[in-house]
Amino acid sequence: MSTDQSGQPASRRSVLRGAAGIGAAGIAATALTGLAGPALAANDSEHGSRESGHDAGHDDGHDGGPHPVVAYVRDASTGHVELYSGTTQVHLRDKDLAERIVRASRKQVS
Amino acid sequence: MSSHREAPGISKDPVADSTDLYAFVSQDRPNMVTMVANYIPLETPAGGPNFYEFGDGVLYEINIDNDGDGWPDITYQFRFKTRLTTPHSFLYNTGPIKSLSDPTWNSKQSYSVTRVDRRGSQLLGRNLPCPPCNVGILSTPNYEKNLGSKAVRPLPGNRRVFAGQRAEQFYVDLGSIFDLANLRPFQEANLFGKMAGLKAAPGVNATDRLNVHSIAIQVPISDLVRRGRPTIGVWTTASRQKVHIADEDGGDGWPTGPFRQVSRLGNPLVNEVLIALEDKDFWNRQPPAHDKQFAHYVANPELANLLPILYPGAFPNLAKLDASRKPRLDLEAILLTGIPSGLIKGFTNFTGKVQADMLRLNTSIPPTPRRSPKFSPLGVVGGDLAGFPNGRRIEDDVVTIELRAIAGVTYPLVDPKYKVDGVAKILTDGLTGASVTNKPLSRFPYMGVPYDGYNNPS
Repeated sequence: MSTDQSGQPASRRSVLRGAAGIGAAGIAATALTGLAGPALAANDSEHGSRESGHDAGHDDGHDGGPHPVVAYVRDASTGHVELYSGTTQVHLRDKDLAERIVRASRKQVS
Repeated sequence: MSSHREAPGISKDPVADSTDLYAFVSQDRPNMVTMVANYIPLETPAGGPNFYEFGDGVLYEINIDNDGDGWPDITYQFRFKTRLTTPHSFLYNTGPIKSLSDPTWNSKQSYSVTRVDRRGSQLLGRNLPCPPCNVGILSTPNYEKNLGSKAVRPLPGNRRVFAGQRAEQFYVDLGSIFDLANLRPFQEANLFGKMAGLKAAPGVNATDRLNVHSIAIQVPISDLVRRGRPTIGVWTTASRQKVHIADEDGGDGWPTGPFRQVSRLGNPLVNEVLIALEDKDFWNRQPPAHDKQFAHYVANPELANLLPILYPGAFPNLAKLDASRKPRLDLEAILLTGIPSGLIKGFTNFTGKVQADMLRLNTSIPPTPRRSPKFSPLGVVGGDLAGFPNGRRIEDDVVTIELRAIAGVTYPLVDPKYKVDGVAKILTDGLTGASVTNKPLSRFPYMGVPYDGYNNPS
């Protein structure tokens, strides 16, 4: 259930997609505060949001608090960035953001 | 093995490594289906002081397809968490563990169960206790009475669940089979065995006196099937979140991101024996609905080609079949689509044309009583329609069944003119259910009482 489910019957997909939209919006707002005009190209949170919705019985150690966010610059030249938080993943296409993260990652830590 | 350490990647992540999957109409409750998914291969009972536990970061799932498309229609999800009672102690237990809430048990694990279907998800239970591992006669006295049986818990909807350590019930002569496909009862006929001067010998159960961790759930048949479609496809998966940060202050670190499937198991031995090394971990990450891409491994199994080479002269008809390059439609039916009606009198577990590796169980076939002369651990091959590949019972001898099937015993299902080699009909690794020390229970969760570390120290 946790792999790409493209091709899955519409009835099941529609249920899951509904939950995914809520998760994606939430994570975008959290992760992108202060950033100018990101293009939210797509999200792969169908399963991630489903997991969070289906997993109410599990204590993941982040009771009520904000989840840490991990950014993965997949390809700085095209601006493809993945953001991970909780059980969601957001795919951004934002060259400026990608380049800023790459530049920041090259700074010497004193 | 059935699926123990079957792929390079997952063999390095044992808590997420599925070992066996069982699905059967319950002998003692024939209106119920029991599904058992085992994880953590080859647990040595004395493996302390950090005894075996489910992975807190792993999402375990038992999936059911009830419309034949290879996608899950119903999923039972299991998530675990571990709590220390006495964090300042290095010990697993500080005294005898006499109950599931005993404060002497330091490292306690509990879990939640969620049912997911197209309507959404339903939390069936949370904070359900796992039993401790069977440490030894002093630490876990009267194990099954005090601990194991107490971990069987009811769930809403007349369901029952258990998650914890159990005795390995799968039997196989690993030491022989993975030594150039040697079978001890036939090793004097093995190409290399003959060169080494080996004589026929009884099989040795390499998995005896070892434990696994079982997730068992029993649910009404009506919970699983669609009207007019009594056959279900079952598989288990384990998933981990995509990102793991090993933070200096984060203890074990913390995972984040969506879950990604890392382990899968439907029919026994498919990934282990049929799928090539380069595709095994990829296979683990795929849903059954995508199994058409692996169908060539089933249609032309490497082992079927090796048997006539490794046992010269023993499989002349199989050798001809191999040389013909005809696809093994018998194996494709058994493993990928189910057996259509008309091939075996009174039996079908066909789910449609979609090729998907799932354990297919026709729930309309009643269980065969253990004491009945009709009961056969060889399942359908042995004339017992309630056994593998109609689901899989704890006692089913899947190694012998699949060895014989690959050797051509089931090919007459699709070509009645095919003459099965005499050796194929008696092929075995020399083991039976009697090769297992701790036998299956007659009641849920059916998996035997785990071996204790004191009496099984190595």
